Amino acid sequence: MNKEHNQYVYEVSIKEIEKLNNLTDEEMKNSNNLVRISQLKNNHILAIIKQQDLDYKNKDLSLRTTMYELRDQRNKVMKEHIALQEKKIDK
Amino acid sequence: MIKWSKDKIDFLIKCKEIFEDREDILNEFNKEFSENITLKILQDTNTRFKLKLPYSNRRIKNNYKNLQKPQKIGGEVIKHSSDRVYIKINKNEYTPKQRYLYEIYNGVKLKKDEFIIFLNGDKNDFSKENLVKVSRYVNTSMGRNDFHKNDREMTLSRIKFCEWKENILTILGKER
Repeated sequence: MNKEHNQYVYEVSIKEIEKLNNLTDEEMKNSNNLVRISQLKNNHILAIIKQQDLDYKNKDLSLRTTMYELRDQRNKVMKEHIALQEKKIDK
Repeated sequence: MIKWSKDKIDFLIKCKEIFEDREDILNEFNKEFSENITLKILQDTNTRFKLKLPYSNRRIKNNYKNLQKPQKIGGEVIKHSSDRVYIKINKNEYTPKQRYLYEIYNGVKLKKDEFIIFLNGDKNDFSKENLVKVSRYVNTSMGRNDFHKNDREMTLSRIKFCEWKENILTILGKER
């Protein structure tokens, strides 16, 4: 999924750069719309990139929470084990 | 502010014969006279009264790791306590290693407005494939948007995105 995103962003960026470089001065003066359309596309791609980053951070967060939950369970088990050992010693 | 009486000076002169390190003399002095002077004050006193106290060799040895030996031209230096590697190109002139190597790999001379980015985020990977030249706008844009990642393809796609944005802005700027 990430690779597809990266490739899409890369390809679109290169195409748009070529388009803008091939614009003549007259075209730039006459029609502002081409550049504005490119700007809108750029904002759209920025949203995709930001979403990609958010997804990554959410994944990272969920992995960390599961890790902390597992640690918590492990610590509880160890406490119970220690309590049992103490009881044995007291007997 | 400490007042240097004759007793104190005599004490320092006696300590000179007992201790080999200035830091030991300092500690002993502070104990004896219930003072809290520093090595800097002791250094000033040493020159003022010409006591010729021994050096604080332990401190010098410990700090030596942080001190850089003067390098020959072409030698590497780590600067600014951030582990960034620089190369000496002239008597008092250093350049970041990535800029130096990029110029050698590609046979170009980098301008001040041109920057080098590490594609995989590893600032110790100076291979040719990992170094990419970008403009000032792209460099700041990458930092502002937190686009630097540990994946080469991802970083490259974002660099192209920033170049696209720069292109748009320059065209709109021309029209204005």
